Amino acid sequence: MAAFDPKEFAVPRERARVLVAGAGGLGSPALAALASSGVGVIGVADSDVVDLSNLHRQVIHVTAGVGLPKTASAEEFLKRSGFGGAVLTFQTRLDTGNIMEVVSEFDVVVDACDTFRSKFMLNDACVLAGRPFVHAGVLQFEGQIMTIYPERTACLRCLFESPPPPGSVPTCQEAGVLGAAAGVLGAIQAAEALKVLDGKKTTLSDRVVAFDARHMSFRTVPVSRDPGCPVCGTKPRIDSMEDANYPPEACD
Amino acid sequence: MPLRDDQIRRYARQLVMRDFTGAAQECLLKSRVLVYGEGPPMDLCVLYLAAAGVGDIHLSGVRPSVLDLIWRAAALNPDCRVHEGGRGLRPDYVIDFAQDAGPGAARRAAGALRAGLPYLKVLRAAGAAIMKRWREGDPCPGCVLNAAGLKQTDLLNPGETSVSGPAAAAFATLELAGLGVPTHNALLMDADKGAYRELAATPLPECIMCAELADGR
Amino acid sequence: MANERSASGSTSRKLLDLRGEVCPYTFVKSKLTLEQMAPGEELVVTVDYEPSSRNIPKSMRIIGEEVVSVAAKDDGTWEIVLRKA
Repeated sequence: MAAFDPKEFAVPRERARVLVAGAGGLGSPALAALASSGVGVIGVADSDVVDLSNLHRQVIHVTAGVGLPKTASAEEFLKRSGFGGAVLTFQTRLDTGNIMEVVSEFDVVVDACDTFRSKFMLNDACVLAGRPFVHAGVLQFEGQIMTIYPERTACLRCLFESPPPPGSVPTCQEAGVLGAAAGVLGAIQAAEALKVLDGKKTTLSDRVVAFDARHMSFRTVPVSRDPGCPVCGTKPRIDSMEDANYPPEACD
Repeated sequence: MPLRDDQIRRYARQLVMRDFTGAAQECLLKSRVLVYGEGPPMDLCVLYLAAAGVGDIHLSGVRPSVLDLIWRAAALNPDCRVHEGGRGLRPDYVIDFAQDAGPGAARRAAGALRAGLPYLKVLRAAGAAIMKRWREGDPCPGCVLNAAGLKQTDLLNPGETSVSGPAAAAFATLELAGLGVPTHNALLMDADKGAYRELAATPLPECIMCAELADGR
Repeated sequence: MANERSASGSTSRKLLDLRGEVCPYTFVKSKLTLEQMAPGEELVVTVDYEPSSRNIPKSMRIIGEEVVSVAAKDDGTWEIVLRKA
């Protein structure tokens, strides 16, 4: 594989458009960090409303905002934080019908959604739209993060061909999470998104950083593109957004 | 005191975890944390502590944004009370975000150790953060900074990363909830370079501050 | 919540009525109750939310608690018997 120059994806901060897909446990610290970064536009996509059980980890929302759309609550947070750019809110579930259009409006995408289905959908949409994005996932005390330059560095499907089958992963009620562990991952995601915009070579691309709060340890695992990847390989099976590629999850 | 119904709902997603018992949550709600310093990571740390249900957070030192932070923490979780100033306080935990790796930091570390209190220190420089939970015999903050290849003057340019805020909150939350001390190793979180790892730190020979820490004076 | 003597003899049983509650609170409340009990004691949880009848036993096994029985009742509720490990 030929080396690529991350400057290809660089955009001046004041013109940069960042999408945070999900205004929850990962989106909160990402938005908090992006608020003071000087980016031009922050997009926030989320279809949920704030619930009391979100507030132990989703620190941009407030108790009085329980019941409000998370997008509106996030916009309120950004305004209060003195964010000087524009805020675009998408109070909708990203699905195969709208995701390409939304993702294409942005220079870099932060994957802050909370289902495997959404994560794979976002991965495919970003690869197909040629948008760099920062994946992260968190469960209980642990999480992982990777930055993806489409068709340049390993994507989520290079590592895992498809979402795990329903039942093999914890259901909603088992999916506990230490709020601040999500905070660590989301804050790293914001830092990664900014490095993408700045054209830096030090992003966590072609490597996964795994974090374990129980031991406060980080582990870096090198990864590489898979030529057989269903979306970014040499003969991709996925070349458009089709519902069949995203089986519903038990908790959806 | 048993958890109220609204508290069970608020903390449900941490209470579902095996080790995060009701007793652990009650420990958090009774705990008192003293925080030194200022800056965006410290703000984020306070919000995460408040969100997890830490009962009282005392902010030492005066800063212009303190009222906003107090409002935010209260708006996020009314179970948590954030106070301005920490003089004469007997905390359960000390988190030091002051951009100081000199005698002041060594004195705070020694003071906390002498009082038998956990002392967690965060230093930020050039887009990186160093975090360490001190114990007796550890090198001084200055020597840990040195081990990361950074100098005191680098503290003047912290960079924009906020990773250390939630990291310190995760550390303190686990410890205050009785889930153990995650590590005594110094951690380097260099968001700018994409390097996240342990830092091997040893006292520099004849370091006065290290000697002071070892003395526990 | 109520206490009763189990039919089998001396083991103390607690009853927890969680009708009207949904996931994850059904599990969380069962877990918090079980945490207050002594090893060997039984907790009988009643739920009327079908997913909880599957999720409580599954999650309890994950955290190492014993699931003695799960029974669907005629009145549309489920009775889950747990034993504190």
